[in-house]
Amino acid sequence: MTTPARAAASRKVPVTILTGFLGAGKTTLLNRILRERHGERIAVIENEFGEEGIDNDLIIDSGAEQIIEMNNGCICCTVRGDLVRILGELRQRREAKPKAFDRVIIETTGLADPAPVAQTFFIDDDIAAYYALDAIVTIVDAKHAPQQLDDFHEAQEQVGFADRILLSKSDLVSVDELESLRGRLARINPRAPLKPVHFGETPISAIIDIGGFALDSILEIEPGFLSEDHHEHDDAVQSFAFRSERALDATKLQAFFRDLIATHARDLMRYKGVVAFAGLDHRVVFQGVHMMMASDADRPWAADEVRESRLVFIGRGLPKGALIAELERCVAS
Amino acid sequence: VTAKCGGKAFAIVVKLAEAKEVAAATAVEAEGGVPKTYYEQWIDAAERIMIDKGVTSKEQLTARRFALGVTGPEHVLK
Repeated sequence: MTTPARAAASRKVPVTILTGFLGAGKTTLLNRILRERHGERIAVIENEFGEEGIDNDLIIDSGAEQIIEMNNGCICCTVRGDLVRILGELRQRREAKPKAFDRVIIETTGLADPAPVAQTFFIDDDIAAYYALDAIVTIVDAKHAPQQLDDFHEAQEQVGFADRILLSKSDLVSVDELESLRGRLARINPRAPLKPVHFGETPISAIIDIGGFALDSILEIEPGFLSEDHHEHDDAVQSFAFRSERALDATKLQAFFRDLIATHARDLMRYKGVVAFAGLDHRVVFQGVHMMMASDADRPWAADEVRESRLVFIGRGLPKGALIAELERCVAS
Repeated sequence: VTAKCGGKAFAIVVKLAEAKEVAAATAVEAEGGVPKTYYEQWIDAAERIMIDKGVTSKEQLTARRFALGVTGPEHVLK
């Protein structure tokens, strides 16, 4: 059912946002990928030229970050003006010469907030018509991440926003330190698969065609996430999941989301779910970023399938207990 | 909001007509029906035409309306 939408999306130029804190190895990874013989022509947009050069003939400096608040009356709808300009220029270049590039990778600065970068692809109509945001990939440096997560909310936000987390330098820490970090990352973001990477061997497939914003992509929840183990870190960015095997009431759940967005839109980073609604034989899938949301019908529930609704929310300081209690009240009577 | 959706529905039906999918005006006028607002009638008719033509389905419309009802048309993820 979503096939026509996906086909239309596939004609758009796919874009990957590569985030990661200072020194995590974004540029090293990118250089490795650009040298690979993958046959893809990649345009790279960098926020700032680092000390290490990027080995690519189509690389553009976006200049200073420029956050623009959209004039639609909501404070969390910000886009990056520098990106709008550059993506527009790249489009003109590709329209003049169609083989100029096949995809775009945006490498953000270590301190960038991923939200305005991502929202640029949904809020700006011209950009949304030509480009499709594939995923946000966050590189986490196993050695320095614990300290960075303690010190900088941006580091937590980059983890919270991620569709995939690449764990670098894991050979520099002990097994215990690594396990502790993995648990912490999973509590911040249980839906992004964690993959250890060795820069010399990371293939381009590690960062492309992830479908992080595709409604019908599989919702996987890190298994360790649901256990309520003792943990020493109380990060500002946290997540929670809600599961129910009883069908939900669409009107009640809609009211829940309206309230949630009205009160917490700025702190609500990513949310995604598969829902069984009373009276509907199809799975309904949804996802959102701040106050922007999409939903669609997925395949019908199979005859022998448990109709379990699964919803995951990632955000800053969300009142988890109260929200779960409200979700319990969305069960169809 | 209703007027805005009505405008979109109108545009969709015009597009369908251009694509020779339907004789838009006659198809929609023929729907007639229950006393709803002008715009609601347009939307209902356009939805029925698109379901009949296999462009969408009742399930898809129900599912997509979920997020639309939460955020309003300005904030639906494209």
